[in-house]
Formats: sequence, structure tokens, C-alpha cells
Amino acid sequence: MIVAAEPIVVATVDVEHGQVLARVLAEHGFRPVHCCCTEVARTLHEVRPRILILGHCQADGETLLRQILQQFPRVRVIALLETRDGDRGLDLLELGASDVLTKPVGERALIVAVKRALDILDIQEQCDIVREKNKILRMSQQLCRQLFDEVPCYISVQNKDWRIVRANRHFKEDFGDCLGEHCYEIYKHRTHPCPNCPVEATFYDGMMHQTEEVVTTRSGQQKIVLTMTAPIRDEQGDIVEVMELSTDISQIRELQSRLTSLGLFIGSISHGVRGMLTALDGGMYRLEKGIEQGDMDRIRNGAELVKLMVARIRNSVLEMLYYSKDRELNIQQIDVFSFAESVAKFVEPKAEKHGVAFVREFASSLGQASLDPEVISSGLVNILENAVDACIEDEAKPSHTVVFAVTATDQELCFTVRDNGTGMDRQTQEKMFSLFFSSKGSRGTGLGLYIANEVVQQHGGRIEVQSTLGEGTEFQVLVPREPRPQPAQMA
Amino acid sequence: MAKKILIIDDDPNIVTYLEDIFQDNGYATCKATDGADAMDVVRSERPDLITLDLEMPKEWGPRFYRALTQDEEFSHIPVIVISGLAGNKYAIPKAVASFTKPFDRDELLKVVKETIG
Repeated sequence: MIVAAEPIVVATVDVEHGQVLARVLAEHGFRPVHCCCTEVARTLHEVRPRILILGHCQADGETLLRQILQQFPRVRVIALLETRDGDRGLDLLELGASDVLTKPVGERALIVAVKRALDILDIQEQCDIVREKNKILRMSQQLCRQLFDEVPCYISVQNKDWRIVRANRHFKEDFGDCLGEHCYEIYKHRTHPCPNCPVEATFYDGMMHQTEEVVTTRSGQQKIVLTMTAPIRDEQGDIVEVMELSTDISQIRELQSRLTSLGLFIGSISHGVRGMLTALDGGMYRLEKGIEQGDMDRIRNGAELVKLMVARIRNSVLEMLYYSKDRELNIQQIDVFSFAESVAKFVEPKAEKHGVAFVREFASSLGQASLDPEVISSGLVNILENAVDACIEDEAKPSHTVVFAVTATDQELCFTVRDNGTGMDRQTQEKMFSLFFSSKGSRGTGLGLYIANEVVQQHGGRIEVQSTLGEGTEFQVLVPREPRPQPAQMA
Repeated sequence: MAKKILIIDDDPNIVTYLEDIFQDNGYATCKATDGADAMDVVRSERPDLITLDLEMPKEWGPRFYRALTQDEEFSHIPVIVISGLAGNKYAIPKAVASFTKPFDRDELLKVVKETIG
């Protein structure tokens, strides 16, 4: 390998002296470039040496040195002095000269000074490399830390005793600064390690393991997380720690369960809808035949059937729409008496048709309230219709009554629906607000009371029920005059 | 004498519809609103054909069908399934025909005519 000779600029006023020095340097394998003191800056620009030998620095030597070092801070300058002149040599060293030699400059002294300068340059270069490497290291450490902290997952590192030795910011935010604590305590509030612990499995076989867990944050919120573990090995390749990475998949699971129940729901109503469409066909058939035969009774009867079926299909579709989308309440100021009146008018015809007495008991001066009339009214209609149905089904008593009573305090409205129908057994009472529970077989979707309960709760109210099998049922729907926002419920 | 069809369905509106169709086409009808009562109606009315809904509150259609076929006197009565369940033809494979609600009226009448005239 050919190594290019080290260029050294020799700047002297005395040309001959400069040439002598250059010759010596060349003999030692360097590549000297001689120039006059006045041309030193230009020559340094051209040659870009690491070493400069600066001769004849008597009068304005300091100024020249300062200028050169300012312009070329990395150049090692070996300054030559005409005579030993007090502390001038020290002054030059203080200004940053690499070495100071006094005339006459001996060959040995010159070469020693040059080699020393080269050594220092080498050390400087090493230092630069180390500094650069340190900088890269620091940056990548910072990057790692940043990634570790900002990654939208919980990351913790556990040792063999299930103690957390490192955790990222996201983890600390939700589970507290818990270094040194047991992971099972922090994640799950357990006193012993979890069964089928993936961390333990990774310690055992060094492989990645994946589980789905339900964890509880320090604020008590439950989250469903997908957990993956990976081994951390020391220089010998032994597993010393295990990293646990958990991703919050609660929302995905929630969506999944929503989709599942929506699928279930569509399945459960499809039978009902098929029945209603068939009955609608029946009504249309009767209507058509009636027109064909000029039979007014048949026409009237058919039209009524069509009307009834269209209303049922409409309700089913509306329930379905309600269920398939989270609906914001549309709060309006209403007059409670006229609201109750409109609800009663909706149900009264059905009761009358089946010989069930319908009694209004509205207190005087009910005043105004703020609620979503559409959803509260459909909830009340649902409960009232159930009451009428319970009376129709009941064959034990000679006469039946549904009472719709409305009372109010300053804070709360109370709608009471009382019937002396079949009543409910305990199982029905316990399940009646559950999704898709219906005691009506194919006639019910199992949505009515579920939605009624949901919307009343959305208003900050509640539904209370008392029922005795064979005697009847009383529903109390309590709704605040002004809606009280409810904290979001955990799925 | 007109042939008699027993309609088994828990939905009164659908019963009425089937009664309308059959009576308008010269058949006599009788009805049962669930599988439990249906066997009694079969004994008292002795129908020539039965239309059967599958899912009813008290007793499922398939159970009625089993009871019917186990009774030698009535096991020959042809059964047409009319139900809201898709894929219902697998529930009672020996049925003359299976219809899914909402059904095609003319198709139903055609099958009835082919079966009992």
C-alpha cells in the first residue's frame, strides 16, 4: 500500500533557511512545501497540511499565529524563534503553537517536534472518532428510550422473580411507577403468578409466547390486552430477563362483541320479520280478494291487517336501527302532561280492542321537563304494550286493567305502569332487561325492554319492577327532570 | 266433500291468511296454534293435509311431527312445512314440501293440489 507522504508547509522569510528545513523534512519522508511568510494563508488553503512550520515570527509572530489558528484550528504549528527571547516561546505555546524551536534548528529537534505533532494529531483523531461514536451512541440510546416510552403499548421487563425491572412511560402512566414490584400484582392485583404465565414460558424455552389477558389499571379500568413475550439474553446467551409487550385490544373486542350480538340480533329478528311479511301478504291478499268480490268487510279487514303489520314492521326496523347505532339523546323541553297524554293515546286503542280497561292517573301540575321525548315515549309505549299483552294472556281473572300513573317531584318524574295480568316469574324478572330475552316467543325481538332500560339510564334515570306471578306487575320509570349525564359504561 | 287442511301456526294473522287462501280454493280448514294442541285437532278433525310451522312457543313443530308419524292411524297424512327458518327442509326431511316465509302463494297451492287434489 502506498501511503501518500505527509505534506508539511514550511513558511520562512529567510528562503535559504526554509530550503534547508525542507530538505531535512524530505529526507525523513515528508513532503515539504516551502513558501514565504506572506503567502502562508494561501499555501495552507492549497495544500491543506496538518503541520505548519512557521519561521521568523519575531515582530508580529503572535498576530500571524493567531490568524492562522483562527482560520485553520486543526493545523499543528511548530514556531521557530530567532533567539531565546524571555517568555516569548511560552506566549506562543499559550496561543496554541504545537512546539517552539529556537534557531539554529537542529535536525533532531525538528523531527522530534514534527513526530510529536503527528502523535498529537493521531490522538486528536482518535478522540474525534470516540466523540463521534459517543454522539451516535447517545442518539441511538435516546431514540431507543423514546421508542420504548412512546410506543403505544405497555412494555415491561421482568426478571425471574416476576419483578418488573423496566417499564415504559405508557405502562407507568396506567399502572404506576412500579419498578421492583411483581407483575401479577401490578397487572392483575393477584397475590400469586398467573396460571399459564407467558413470561415463565419464555424463561423456560426462550421462545415468544402470546396470550390474551384482562388487566386492571390503577384507576380500576379493565382492559383486554394481547400480550407477547420475548427473551432478553446476556453476553453468554443466557436468558436473564423477559420483555412483555401488551397491546390494548379492548376496542377491537368491544366491536367484535357488538358485531356478534348484531349478527345474533339479526338472526333473532329474522324469524319475526318473516312472520310479519307473511302476515302482510295475508292482509294484501284479503284486500285484493275483497276488491275483486266487492266485499267491503273483507276490504276493511284486509286494510286493518295491512296497517297493523306495517306498524309492526316499522317498529322492528326502528328498533334495529336504534340498536345498530349508538344514538345521541335529543333533549327537548316538554310539557309532562301532554307528553303523558300522547303516550297514553298510543296504547289505549290496543287495550280497548282487547277489552282491557285503560286508566290514566295523571297528577295535576306536572310541569315541564327536559328529555328525549322520542326514546322515552317508545320505552313507555313498550312497557304499556307489555302490560296490555300480560292482561290479554291472563285467562284467570274476569276483568283486566292497565293503570298509567304519572307523578312528579321537583327533581324527578315517575311514570307508573300497573297491570293485573299474568305477572312474571323470577327468571323472567331477572332477565327481562337482557338483550334478546323475550318471553313472547316469535312475537318478541327481545329488544324492547333492553332499549327502554338503556335510554332511561342514558337520561340518568332507572326502572323499578315489582311483579307477582298470577297477580300482576308494576313498572316504575323514574326520569330526572333535567337529564343527568351518565359515565360511559364498561362493556 | 271438500278436502280438509289443518293449519298449525302460532301467529293468528298467518293462520287467517292460510285459511283465506285454502277456503278461496275450495278446501275446508281447521287450525291449531301450537304443537301441543295439534294432535288433539288431528284426532277430532281428521285432516287430509297439514301445514306446519316449526317454531312455536309450547311445542316445536318437529316434536308434533314425530308424534304424528308414530301414530299409525295418522302417519300417512302429508305435511307441508311453512316456517320462518331458512334451511327448514332439513328439519323434517319427509315433508311433502318446505316453504320459507314469506312464501309464494301459487307455489303452495300447486303443491297442495298435487298432493290432495
